[in-house]
Amino acid sequence: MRRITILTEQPEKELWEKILQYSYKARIQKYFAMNGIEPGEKSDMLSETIICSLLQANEYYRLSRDASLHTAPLLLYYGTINLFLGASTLLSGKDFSINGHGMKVNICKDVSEIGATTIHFVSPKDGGINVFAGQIESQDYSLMDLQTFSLREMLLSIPEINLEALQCYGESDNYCIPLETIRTEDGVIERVIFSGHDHKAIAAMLSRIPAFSTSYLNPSFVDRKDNTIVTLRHKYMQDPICYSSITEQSYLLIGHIHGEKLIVLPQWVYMYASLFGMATLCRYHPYLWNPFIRLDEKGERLLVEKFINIARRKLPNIILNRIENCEYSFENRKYVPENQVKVLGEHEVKDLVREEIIRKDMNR
Amino acid sequence: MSSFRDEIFQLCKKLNSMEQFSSLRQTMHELRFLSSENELYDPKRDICFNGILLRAEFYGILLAYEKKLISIPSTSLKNTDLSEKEKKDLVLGHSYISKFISLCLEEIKEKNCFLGNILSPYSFLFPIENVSETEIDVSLFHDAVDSFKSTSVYRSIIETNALQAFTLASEEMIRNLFGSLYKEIIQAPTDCVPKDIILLKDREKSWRPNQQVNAIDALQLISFKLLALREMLSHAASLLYDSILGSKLLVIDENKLINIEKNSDNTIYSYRTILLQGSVLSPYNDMLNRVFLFHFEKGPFRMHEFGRASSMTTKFANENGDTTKLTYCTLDEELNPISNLTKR
Repeated sequence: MRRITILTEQPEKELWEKILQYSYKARIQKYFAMNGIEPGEKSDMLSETIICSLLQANEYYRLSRDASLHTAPLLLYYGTINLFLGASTLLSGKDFSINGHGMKVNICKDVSEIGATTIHFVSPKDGGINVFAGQIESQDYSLMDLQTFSLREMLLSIPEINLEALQCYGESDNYCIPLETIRTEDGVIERVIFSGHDHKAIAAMLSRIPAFSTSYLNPSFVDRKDNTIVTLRHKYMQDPICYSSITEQSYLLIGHIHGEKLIVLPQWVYMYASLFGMATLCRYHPYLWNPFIRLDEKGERLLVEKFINIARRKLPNIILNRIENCEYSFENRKYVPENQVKVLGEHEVKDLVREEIIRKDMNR
Repeated sequence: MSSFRDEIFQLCKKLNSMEQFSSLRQTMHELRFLSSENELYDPKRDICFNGILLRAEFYGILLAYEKKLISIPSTSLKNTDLSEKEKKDLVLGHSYISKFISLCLEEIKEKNCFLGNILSPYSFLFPIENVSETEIDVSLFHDAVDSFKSTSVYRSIIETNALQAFTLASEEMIRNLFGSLYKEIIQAPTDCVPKDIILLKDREKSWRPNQQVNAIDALQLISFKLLALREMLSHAASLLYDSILGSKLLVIDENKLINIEKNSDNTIYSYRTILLQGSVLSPYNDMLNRVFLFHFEKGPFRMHEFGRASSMTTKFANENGDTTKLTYCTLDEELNPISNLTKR
């Protein structure tokens, strides 16, 4: 996928300006034509749906930025529904008959944490999330077979808030492994530090990363005082399987075991479903949401706040990437000219000198 | 007829399944890994290891024991002799390889005895004394020997008057010639080709059929072919040795491969430098003497070739993981590593 870097001091503003170019009819018609989409007689109606959905989405997103946690999840969820509807219509050139959210929330009243709330996927054909999944994921995608996910599981699966989620919920169920990437003279290695020396448990965790053994050579383990250092190397010519966060740190995503299946959902599904769970709590269960915001003693509120900020930044970026079929990166840094001069490392210079000496010796 | 390489693998399969070598395998395991109780340094085990480093199969191990080849000269040489049983086992293994080599070279030996002797892969080592080879059934080698004699390199020597050039040469002259060729071509780094060889191959390209060529050039080109024969036998001997000891063919594949750093050809070799994860262990054979299969496949990119390591460096990098950089030359269907040099 083509990568486009946009240097800006206001990434969210710039991102929405890119999306809102599709709030003009001419741009939509051009997009349809360029992508071979034939909307037929409904063209005008579809254009209005797209324009209205995207403008409303932007409005909800802007409002959520200034809102408190009493309404922010709800505003952001409504904004995301509109954003997804606009994008799905643009991508397909069709209108959709959507019946409900495609998810149900089960409230766990006895548990003192928001993360215990569970979300169940329903209405595989016309539920909102299922319809959007069919358009946003390029291959056929179905959430219908999935069982119940807890909000806690979802939040632990989002790399950008993983540290806060682990601090809040403990490390027993982690679904993201941050990778330390190191360039060595023998190529790039990735390193993970685990607490303790239980190599079997670490190997079992790594085996829950889909395609791990296809992409990586056998990991090597080195024990340090209280930790185990695991070094990973990619197999030759194998594509990386890691997820790159907004700050471009790499993470390995661990699958959820549901029944006999190992599942890693797209990042937008974790965020969309979590927003739905939180929006439902604040809209329909204020007796739980209000005390959580005012009296939270666990620090879960900090996690929810961070999640809201990350969802607001990431979800429109994912949608823009899908619409334009490229990877947009909005970075707050100064422009640096491209350097095409190859700078040799110390080991490369040594190799060259050694080769030259041998060659001269041979021809003496 | 199958290629020499295929016939050698067929022979290896037979040797690998022969019960006759079970005692030899046990002996090698003991010599290599079992040390005397409460001894930090076991000279008997050390001699075996040094014998393996001679890269001459059972011959090297027998020679090491005969010459008491230990790493620490002041060490006591007590209990370093092979027992009767151990010696008998090693001689049995050596007899198979030695018989095979002499069958392959018998015709050349008939025409030029000195040359036949020098083409044995063990000809640069001291002779071993007090070893009388075991009688073995040679019918086992029939197909492999035939395929050796059908190789293009062998036929180009035996079916022409190439050997006549060596008729007047003394044994010492032949030994010196092959000694210097071995050093210049086989022992030199794979990416270094002497200038005179490059110039000779350039001249060869311009030769027309029936053209009178320079006698020294012709002699050199024949010498390259004879050197190739020696290397082919050396690789066959290494493969037979591994199969007699029950080892399987070493395969280097995607599960160890980090990178292919160099993929190159020159006037002598086709060679690659690959970076592997961890170390490549070969308990009974020196890695630089071992023939292995390199296999890598991803989409349309496929490499499936046999090779012999010419250099290997293992880096124990601890937290960064151990790596091995291995440079190998590829072997063709005749197990010839210098086919770029021997083909016109």
